[in-house]
Formats: sequence, C-alpha cells, structure tokens
Amino acid sequence: MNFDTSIPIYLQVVNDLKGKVASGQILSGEKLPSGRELAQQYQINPNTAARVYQVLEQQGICETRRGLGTFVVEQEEIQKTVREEMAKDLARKFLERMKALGFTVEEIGKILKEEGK
Amino acid sequence: MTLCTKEAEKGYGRKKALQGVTFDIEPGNIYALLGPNGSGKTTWMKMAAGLLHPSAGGVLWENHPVCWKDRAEIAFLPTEDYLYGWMSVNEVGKYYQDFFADFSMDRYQALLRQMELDGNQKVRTLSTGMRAKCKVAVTMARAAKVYLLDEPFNGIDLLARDSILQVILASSDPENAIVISSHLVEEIESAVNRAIFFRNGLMAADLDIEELRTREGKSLADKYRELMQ
Amino acid sequence: MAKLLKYEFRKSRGALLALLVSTVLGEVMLLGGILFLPQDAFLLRGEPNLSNGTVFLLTVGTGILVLAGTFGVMLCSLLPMWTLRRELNSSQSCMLFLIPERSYAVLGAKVLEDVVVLAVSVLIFGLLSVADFLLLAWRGGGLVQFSEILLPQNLDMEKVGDVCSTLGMSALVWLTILMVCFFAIVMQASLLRGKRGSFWISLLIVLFLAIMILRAGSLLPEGNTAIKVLAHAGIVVLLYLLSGWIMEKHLSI
Repeated sequence: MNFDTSIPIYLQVVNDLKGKVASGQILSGEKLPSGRELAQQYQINPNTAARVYQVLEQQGICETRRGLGTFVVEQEEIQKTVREEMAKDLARKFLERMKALGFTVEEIGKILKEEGK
Repeated sequence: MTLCTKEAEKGYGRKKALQGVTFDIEPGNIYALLGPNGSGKTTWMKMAAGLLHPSAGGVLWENHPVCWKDRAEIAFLPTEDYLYGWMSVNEVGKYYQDFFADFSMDRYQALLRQMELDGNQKVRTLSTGMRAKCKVAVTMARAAKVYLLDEPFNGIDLLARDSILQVILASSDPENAIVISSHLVEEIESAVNRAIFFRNGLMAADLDIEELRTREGKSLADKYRELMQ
Repeated sequence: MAKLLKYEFRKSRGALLALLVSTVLGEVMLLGGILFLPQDAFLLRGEPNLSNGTVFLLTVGTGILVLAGTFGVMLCSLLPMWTLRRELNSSQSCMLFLIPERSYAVLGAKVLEDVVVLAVSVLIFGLLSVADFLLLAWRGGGLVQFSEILLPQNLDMEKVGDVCSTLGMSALVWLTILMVCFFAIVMQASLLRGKRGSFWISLLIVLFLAIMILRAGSLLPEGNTAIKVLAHAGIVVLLYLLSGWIMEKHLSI
C-alpha cells in the first residue's frame, strides 16, 4: 500500500482495515493477522502495526484474546456501524471542502444527484 | 539492552568527524540514521561496532565501552566492499558461521535464494549489486542484538531494495534494534519508527516519526529538508 | 585461534601448494636421476659414464629442491605478512575486524602460520636431504665410505647437533626478520597511515631494526646457542606484543 508519509501511517492502516470491515471483506468475529504479520503485509514498522490494533481496540472494532490473537468484535452490527461511521466521516470532509469552494448544501445535493445518475 | 552513546567525539588530526553526540539505541525499534555525507554517520557506526576508538566520550553496551567481544552481539554492515574476492558466496557464509555464534546458515541460504545469488560464485566475479546483496544477506542471517547497516541499499536495484527492506522488517523484534543509515529517506520511511539526524558531526534531532507526522504533519523527507537546509 | 589459523592457511593455499608441487617435482627428478645412475658409478675409475638424461635429472632435481627449500620457503613465509599489508590498507580490513577476535589473535594466527610453515619445512627438507644423500651414496657405491663418516664412531652428537642448530637457527633468525616486517606493516597501517612515503618509511624501519638485531646478535658470546635462541625468541615475542598492541589500540579502520 502506498502511504502518504506526512500523515501518520498507523491511521492510514486503521482506515484501510476499517474499510475492509465496512465492505465486508473482513467479517465480524474474523481473526486478524498478528502484529508481525500485519507489519509484513503492509510493509510497515512492527511498532506501527501494534499501534494500529491499539487504535482499533480503542474504537471498539477489534479485541485481543489472550493467547489466541486479535479478532474483529463478534457483533452482527459491526459492519453497519463501521460503514456508517466511515460514511459520515467522508461526508463531513467532502462537505468541508465543498463549502470552502463556496457551495451551499442545496447546491451540493443537486451536484451529487447529477453525478449519481 | 541499550546501546548508549555519550558525548562521543572523534577527531582526525585537526578535523573532527564527531563533535559530541548523545543518544540511545533501544531494542524493539528500527532507526533511520540520516544526514549529509561527512556528517559523522559512518564514524559513529564504526565506533558503535567497536572498530574505532573515540577521542572523547564513547558508546556503551551493557554498561561498558564497546569492545571486541561485543562484535558477537553487534552486527555491522560496512559500506565498503569488504568481502574477500577469493571466497565463494557459500564460503562467505561459512566464514561468518565460524566466527559468529548467532549466524544461521539456513537463514543465509534462504536469503541467497530470495536475492537470487548463486552460492558457488566467487565474490570477485559478482557485480557491485550482487556483492551488496551478499553483504546484506550474510549480515541479516545473524541473530544479533543490534544491527548497524551503513547504506545497505547502495548499488542495489529497486526490486532488490524492496526485498532487503522486507528482510529487515522481518528481522525486527522486541529484543533487537536495527539502525539504517541511508540517503533513500522516502523509501525507508514506512519501515523505520525513529529517526536520528546528524549534521556536521553533531546530532540535529532524535525523534519518533509517527509523532512527527501527528504533531507537525510532516514526512521524514520534509523534516530532513527542514533540518538540513 | 584455530579458525583464524584455518583461514590464514586458506589464504596461502596457492603458494603452499606451489611449494609442495615443486618439492615433489624436484624430489621425483632427483630420485629418477639416482635410479638411472649405474650402480657404483662413483667407484669406477675415471669419469663415470652418465647419460645426459641422468645428469639433467640429478642437477635440475637438486636445483629445484634447493630453491624450494630456500627461496620457496622464504616466499611462503612472507605471504601472511604481505596479505596482512593488503588487508590492513584496504577495505578488506573489515573482514578481520568485524569478527569478535582480538588483534593479538588475528596477528598471532599469521605468525603461527609462519612458525608452522618454517618448522615443517625445516623438518621435511632436512629429512629429504639426509635421505637423498644416503640414496645417492648407496647408488653411487660410496655408501661404505660415507657410512664410515656417518657411523656412530664418527658420528658425534655434536656434529648432528651442529647441523640441527644451524638449520634451526637460520629458521629462527628468519622468523625474527619476519616479525620485524609484521611490526613495520602494522606501524605503517596505523600510526603512519596515509602519510606520504609511509611504505618507504616502514621499509627503513625494517632495515634499521634488522641491522640492529644482527649487530646485537654478533655481540653475544660465540658458541652459546642457548643465549642466541633466547634472544631471538625474546625479540620475536616483544615485536609480536608490540604489534598486537598497536593494532588493538591505534588502528582505525
């Protein structure tokens, strides 16, 4: 994965993993790779990989089970929750940038409908 | 075990390659040692590897100044072309096996395969790039406590660099520390977690890179430019 | 130390092999010449009628053995030192100093190689010369005359002792000179590093020390080999320790 090196890498990996949960690529209750494996997969520093899981745990998306590894939380709703959260986040950022260009919310709505066709 | 550098100085006649640097190398980290040519990076590495005596201060390992015995735990990869030309790639491995208890011949052979090196070829017949790969393979086949890699990517093509970086990442564990001195700041950015900057024989910065990104929104390359202008 | 020694011999492999091959060649030629010598050739009156081939084999064979035993051995013993010079003055010094071994051990392995080469050579060439001499005497028919010289009545331990001590002493003196060269090389690589003409300065050091040692040697009481041996051994040890110390403390790679 190509990283933007001026933004913390761990956040970018967190987003990538959340995206996979949101799109169903990673399922609820699924076992996630170990810290070392994650580091190898993404070609990042093992400390960064450890931090990724710390953050995901804080956000309630995964949990560490002693001796077994790290798993996505066993929640039916987890995919929906993460999807919604990410959608809101994307929308917020989009709106911010559009408003900075001078658009009103109605105008933005129209553009989206047009583009959505 | 921490490799502590305290006020290390090294002078050659009137010139001072190191003017007093102080920092620690702690296990579980991969460090980038950055700075322009002549800033003292290689001098520090040789001092830390027990190849140079400091003019003042020094480097401590297990609470004593680094000495010849510590070479058994501290692995140093010089920039120079130091392998004996008359040896074959396999014989280089045997040499390391003879002198380093932490050397794994299995690991070496695996690395050779990964880097597509022929074990029977004599070093003098290898191209610069292949010799560079061989050096890296034989050094990383050791299970050292500290790895000091002086410009390990010199003369190596892109794919081989990726491959070496993979090996370095795979070698990192909470018990060891890896220090990479390189000019390829952008390439090693995601692999290293701490950076030490040298300038004119002095330390310009010692920082955690993710914190740099969080607090200042800068990449390692950006910070380098900022410090070295 | 054993591992270091193994690699030192490995580095000299080519030269030692050449020495072995030429010794074998010379010996085979000499033996061949002796074989073709008509029995009791030397006892016949007048010029012994020897074929050109026999003469060739005898002379060339002996010549090769003599050269191998002197120059060959000397060159082989110079090799570890010459290699050290190349190693200390190039990037290959890393290969020696990366490993967890003391400089004393690294240098010691080279000196030990020389000691072994010299000792083995003295032994082999000594035995070969005695054996060849006896064979020649037997074949040439003069064994009875020669054995009269060699038999116990005439065989003084003193005479044998003289021969042994001459051989041994030469080897020891040569070792001392080698040690002086090691010292000069270490000096050149460390203290005089990079200075112009360092090679010539170190050469001067070698000559100066060698002359001093030989002068000092001539001052010692004649005939007392024990003192001479001790003196040479002492100088060898002193130079070794000094060179090792310089390598350890002052060598910057």
